[in-house]
Amino acid sequence: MNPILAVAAIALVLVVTSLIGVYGLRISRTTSDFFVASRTVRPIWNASAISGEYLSAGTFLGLSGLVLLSGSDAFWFPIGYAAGYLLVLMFVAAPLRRSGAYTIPDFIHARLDSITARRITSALVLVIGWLYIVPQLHGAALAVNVVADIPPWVGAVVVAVVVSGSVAAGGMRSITFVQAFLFWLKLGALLVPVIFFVITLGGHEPRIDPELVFPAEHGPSGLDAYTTASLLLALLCGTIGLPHVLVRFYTSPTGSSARWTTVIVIAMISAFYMVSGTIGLVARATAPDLAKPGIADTVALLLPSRLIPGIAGELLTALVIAGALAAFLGTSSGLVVSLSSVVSQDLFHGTVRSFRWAAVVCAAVPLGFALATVPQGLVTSVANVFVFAASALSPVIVLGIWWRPLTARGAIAGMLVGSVLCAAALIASSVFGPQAGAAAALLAQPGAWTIPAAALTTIAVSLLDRRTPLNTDRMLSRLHTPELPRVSGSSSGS
Amino acid sequence: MTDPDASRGGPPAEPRRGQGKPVRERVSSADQPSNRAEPLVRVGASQVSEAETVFTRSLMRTQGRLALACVLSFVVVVASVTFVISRVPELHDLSIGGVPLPWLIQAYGFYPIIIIYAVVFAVAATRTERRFNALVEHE
Repeated sequence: MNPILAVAAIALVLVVTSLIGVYGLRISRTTSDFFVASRTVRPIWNASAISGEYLSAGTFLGLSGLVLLSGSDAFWFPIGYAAGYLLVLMFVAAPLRRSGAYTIPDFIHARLDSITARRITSALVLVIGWLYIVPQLHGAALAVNVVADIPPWVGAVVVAVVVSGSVAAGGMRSITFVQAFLFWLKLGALLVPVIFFVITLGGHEPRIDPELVFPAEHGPSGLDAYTTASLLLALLCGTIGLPHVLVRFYTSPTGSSARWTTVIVIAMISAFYMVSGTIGLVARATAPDLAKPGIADTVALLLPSRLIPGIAGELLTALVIAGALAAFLGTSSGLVVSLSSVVSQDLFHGTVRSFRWAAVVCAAVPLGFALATVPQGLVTSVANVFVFAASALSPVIVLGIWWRPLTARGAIAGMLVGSVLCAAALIASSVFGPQAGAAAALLAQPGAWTIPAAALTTIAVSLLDRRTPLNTDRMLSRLHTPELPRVSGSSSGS
Repeated sequence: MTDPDASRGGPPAEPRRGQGKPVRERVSSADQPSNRAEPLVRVGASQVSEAETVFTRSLMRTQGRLALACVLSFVVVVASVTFVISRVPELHDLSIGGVPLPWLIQAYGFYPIIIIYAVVFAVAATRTERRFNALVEHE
């Protein structure tokens, strides 16, 4: 492996990212620019940006690693991530855009008229965001260590510094362009090597033994019904509760355009997952020796130089490392933007100056956490964040949009029950592991019972409480009423 | 047609309202001089007209039913495909480029289903909203 090429690729991505960030600096002037790009982003760019933010280290490196390690079960993760956007499209995209709120706590506050509900939502959003940034930093540490033999902490620190710097400098306007660029970089960085792999391997008669490489028991027939169903439920519902996903819809001009943006996003991330999954299949056929925990996640970085000899393989490796860096940067910066919005609005009345400081703090906390912990499997760490978001926030958000009798106490009770149960299950699972016996699967994949528990608590407490906010009708009407064409809006002076 | 009062007080509104009386109609429209075309700027505790609430409730029900129907049928389709690839061992003997068919379906087969559902839902939801807008403008 050639460390010079890898470092050059990393430097190039960083330079281009900060150039776009600086270019964005000149046009972000107002508070509104900082928070939601003044709501003037075109659907195709907005969709690229959303995809760029959504595709993280978990699917860029982790998916092929997990396919190699555990077989076709790994494909449920990207399927769940893509289908999660289907639920976003159906239940929240257009109404949340019409709500006019900047962040999830803003929405909960406006809908329920309760400052306590807002504070709890903000705290949960912060926890979810921080937990989500940690695997990105772990991925960065792993990647630079494998490719260039740089100490792991350097990767994590560089990503954290670049992210907080660019967010603080440009806010979301420049971040939108950065994200859009990073999406195409990520897709290209896996697609080009895949094309090379297919040409190289396609030339030879496959010398693999399908029974050995793709054994039936590691294929779809080996699936465990409860684990799969619980995981899918959590991934499907989890996307709705992710802080950086919802904030993106506020940059669409109308509810309807938010919906079509989501359709484009689904197509884009599906294309990416197919390409990333292909790397996993190629890895099973050509690199079975890397199927060890901790090493498997680096297979996407190691394959090019193994399969393609000479300088071409080295260049492809550099391309993959550039894409991996894009994955870490994209997801972390999207998260830092939405977390900073939450922190600055909740604690400092939403000024630009406080947004900048919040960006620094929101990157520093997960960095400390990442440096203090040992990386686990990247896909499963990311999936645990989805389970938590699905249990803590998704039921309340969906009920807030669709269920009239929701009250502030109901929402608070639901969020507390969902987050506490889910956190307890995941912690118990990591402490006891397989020793938990019959309960091991229930603890490792708690979504199937924590999500219904949160939803039922919300409903039961709301029905007992009966104190629906006074503005419920007004708010629901605002969420669901489509914008009329601009032409008939000319009568405002009457 | 751009005057909100003129467009709201028209006779076609009556049958829609059910038992709505002309007198109440005037009051509610005077209460809300602003045209719906403007996106609502702020959500306060101000009153929502009865008609608006009725329309919004029916729109919510239609959109909610559409979303639920899509999700349920999506779950059924995904479960069926999963059942076939996991419980029909004969499929494992078929392979393309050395990869058994169930693996290929698991790796690539679900995304087209997701995309089709997304497009169908977006088209249907947009159509519902267009109908709603036509109805409101008629008002």
